[in-house]
Amino acid sequence: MVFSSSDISDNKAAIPIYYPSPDSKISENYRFTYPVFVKGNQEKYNHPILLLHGLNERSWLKYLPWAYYLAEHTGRPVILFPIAFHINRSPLDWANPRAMLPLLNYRKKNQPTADSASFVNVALSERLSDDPLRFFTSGRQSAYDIIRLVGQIHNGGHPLFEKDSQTDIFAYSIGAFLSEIIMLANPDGLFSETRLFMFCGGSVFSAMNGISKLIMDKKAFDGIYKFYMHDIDQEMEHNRPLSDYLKSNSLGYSFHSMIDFKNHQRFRDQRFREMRKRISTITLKNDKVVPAKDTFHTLDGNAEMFDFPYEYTHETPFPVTNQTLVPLVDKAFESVFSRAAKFLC
Amino acid sequence: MLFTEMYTRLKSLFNLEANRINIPFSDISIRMQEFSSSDGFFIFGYFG
Repeated sequence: MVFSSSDISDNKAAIPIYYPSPDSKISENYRFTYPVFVKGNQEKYNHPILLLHGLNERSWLKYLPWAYYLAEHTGRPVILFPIAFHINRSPLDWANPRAMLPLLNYRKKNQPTADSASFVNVALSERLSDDPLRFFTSGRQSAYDIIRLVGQIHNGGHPLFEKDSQTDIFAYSIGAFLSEIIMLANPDGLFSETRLFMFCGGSVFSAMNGISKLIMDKKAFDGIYKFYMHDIDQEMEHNRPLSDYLKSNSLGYSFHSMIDFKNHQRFRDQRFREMRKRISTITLKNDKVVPAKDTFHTLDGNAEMFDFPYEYTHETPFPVTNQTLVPLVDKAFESVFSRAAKFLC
Repeated sequence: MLFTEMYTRLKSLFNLEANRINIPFSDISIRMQEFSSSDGFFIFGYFG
């Protein structure tokens, strides 16, 4: 069920009207713009870095200095590409507290287990509770978009890039999960040389905990966890479109292998071994969403764990609101991004 | 330039509606590109 501001009456006493909004009706998701940070004033560039963001992001703001730093220190263009139904691929209302408040109140009243519900996460929480398959279908659409973009760049079909440009990836959080799936599948050999730098990501889905006021509420997370950890196993026993896709399509197979340690373990371990030198990962000691130990486990130890001398979270590794922390945050940011720039240079 | 200063300066500059965003304090600019997702709605029938 999705809520739209058009359903909000100025009359505060009005009861919000909810309606099932098919994903295909969300036009923002189909035609959108994305920013590319470039250094210098050339007509064409080489070797872009694709920067992929985290779950439930509605704005590029957090990522602007990340992209700027990578562009400045590698000299390479940095593409900020939005995942399906995120950033500017989602209705503006989803990031509007005033528009989301009635939906939040409705959810808190009707979903008693929706702990951590907030106006920031209520749109995503409601959508995933309504249909947990959206986690997969949105990821699938994002993967195909990225494959098409990287293919365009490689084939000389992108206006900003020289033909045969190699694309590398900087991926954060769920963007890391998506990148791993694409790299494992390696469609058309497009990612055979791609280097992947992951930050606060890298583990299989089963080790993640997405319950956060900034990501999704408990009701939504419990729903997708049950769906992908339990219901999917039952579905795999049948021959239906979803199970067929997960069994026979390379992206579907890779997605399934990244759901839990036990799924296609030999395939996953073998592929990560093959790609070991092309993957670099930084985890954070206090990351509760994608725990460091599970990223180490997934990548067979091919990761490093950092810790910062201030209070941080997975969602906000570099807080900007406390002025007294500025020197520490600046240093922490430099420690991560200098490593990323060196790897991707 | 350090992270927090970078964040503050970029925050005031970013405008999604512009095709090209010049960053006055460096030789980096932002070029906006368009994309049309071609992913058709594959219907994943599941659980019967």
